[in-house]
Amino acid sequence: MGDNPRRSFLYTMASVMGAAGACATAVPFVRALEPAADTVASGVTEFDVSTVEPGMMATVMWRGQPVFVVHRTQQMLESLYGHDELLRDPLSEAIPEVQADWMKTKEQRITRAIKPEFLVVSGVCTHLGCIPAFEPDREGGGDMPKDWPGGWHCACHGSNYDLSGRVFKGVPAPYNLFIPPYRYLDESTIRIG
Amino acid sequence: MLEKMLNTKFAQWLDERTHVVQYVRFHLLDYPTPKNLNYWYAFGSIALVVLIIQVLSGVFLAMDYKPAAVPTGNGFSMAFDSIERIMREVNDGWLIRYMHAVGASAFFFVIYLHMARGMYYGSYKKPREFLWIMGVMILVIMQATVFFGYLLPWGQMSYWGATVITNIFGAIPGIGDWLLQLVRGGYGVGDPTLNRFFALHFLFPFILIAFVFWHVMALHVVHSNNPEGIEPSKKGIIPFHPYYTVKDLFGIGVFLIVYSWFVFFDPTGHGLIIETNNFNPADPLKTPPDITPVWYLTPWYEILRSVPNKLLGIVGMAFAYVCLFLMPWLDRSPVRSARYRPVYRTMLLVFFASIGVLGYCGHHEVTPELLLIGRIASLVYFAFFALLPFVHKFEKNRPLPEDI
Repeated sequence: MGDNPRRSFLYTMASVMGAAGACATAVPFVRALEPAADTVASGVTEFDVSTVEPGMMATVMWRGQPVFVVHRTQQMLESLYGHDELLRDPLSEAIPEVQADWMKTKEQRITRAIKPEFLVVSGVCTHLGCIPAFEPDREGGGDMPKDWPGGWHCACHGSNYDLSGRVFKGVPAPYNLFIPPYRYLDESTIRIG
Repeated sequence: MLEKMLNTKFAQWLDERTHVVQYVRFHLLDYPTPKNLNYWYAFGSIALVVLIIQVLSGVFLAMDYKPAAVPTGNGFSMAFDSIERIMREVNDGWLIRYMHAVGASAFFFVIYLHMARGMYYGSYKKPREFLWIMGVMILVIMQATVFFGYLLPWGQMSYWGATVITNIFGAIPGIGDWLLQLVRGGYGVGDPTLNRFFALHFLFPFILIAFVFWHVMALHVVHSNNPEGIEPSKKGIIPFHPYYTVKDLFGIGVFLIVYSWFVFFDPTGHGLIIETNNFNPADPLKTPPDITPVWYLTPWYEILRSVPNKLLGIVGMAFAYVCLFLMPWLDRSPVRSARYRPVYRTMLLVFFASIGVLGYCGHHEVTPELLLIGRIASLVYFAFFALLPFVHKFEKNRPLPEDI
């Protein structure tokens, strides 16, 4: 069979065309597995941050996953300074997901919020996707670092974040909590997504 | 290249442990086939391709389909809405749905031609009786599968078609009412029916594949018949590859062109592939004036409708299948192919015509004229089988050739 060049040319062409057709047919099937149009369109959530009492946290659903909104007191904001050496990425520079366009100054890279008193971060642990528990004023010791400044503790695999959602060293989570895209529509209403 | 692949160390290693190379050689490459098979013999391979299309598109539809008849905000049902969501929101969901809907019709089209070929060339006769029976079993399982599937969109035709057909079980004396509720899971067709029909629509293809496997295994024991209907000599035998791999692939290519044309340009087949009324959501309070099954079920439905008695109509429809199963024993002529059987050939063509007429009648609203025509066609259908055991007594066969 292989010794007839015309025939083997035809076999090759037919095989190549068949393979191309199979690949083209796979395209709609793969596309169908991607999020559908309505799923993509549902990724917008609005929330009034002024409803959160000082020192408290609210959980907002966005794309079916939690977003933490913390009303940080002056004391909480001050707690963000002085433990940089314990953090993996104190200035949120590792990957694009932990940054945002509006993070221009060093100050903003530490407070990680458009309005410093209202932190808006993804509530999904960057390790394997569990939801960390809010521990704003727990004393150090136990699972926590010695000088625990308050933040989040993920019970799944023991990752810790401070009150800006910045991850501590020596825990499994690789990155700070992600910053979802959001903006202020007025004084206190944010649109996430 | 294929030869090279089968001779690699890895292939040999695998073959020593699971005979994979031997199977490929025995069932695909060296499988002996008569040299005179025409394109009618491609429909088996084509049917296999349609089966793959159906399984693939069906699994992807199941990922977005919701088998629930509970009403949604707009007054429709979750099931109906989920189909519309597949059509509008899921990327290329419209394409996958139409592939599946057109695929169902294509499957029956191909299988009916495949069966007609078998009847014409006498492929059901000894030693291929079991092969034929497996084939008819496949048809029955296909019809059950498609019946379950047609309820899923929860449109008017889905609902009322399922209502009418499940009522068949209710006509069985004694256990009818119990059986009817068993099938429906309620007093009428409803949410429980939809749930179990979805489960069964997913299950039945597995059974279908098992029977297809058995069908092919049986074929590979008795081997293909041929248009002459005689046993070929050694000279008449050629290997399946490359002769019929190429021939079947060409047939598959032509089929896919026609199939794609329907998928892209006429997916509802002007109401034949997806009935127009099924785009209306199911309404248990309003029966459409004209409930008919999809075209591939209409001949059997028309036999049911022709008999003016509920139970006997169902018996008649069941008997239509029994006749098919019995065909290898009803036909007693030693000659296989209709090419050499003038009387059988005429009878067979009239039989095919009767199925066409039954299908036409079953697809239209009952009128006195159509009812009469349907009854005549039903009689022709059964007369074919009734005459079959006697044809060989007076039929003068044309002389058979020495070899193919």
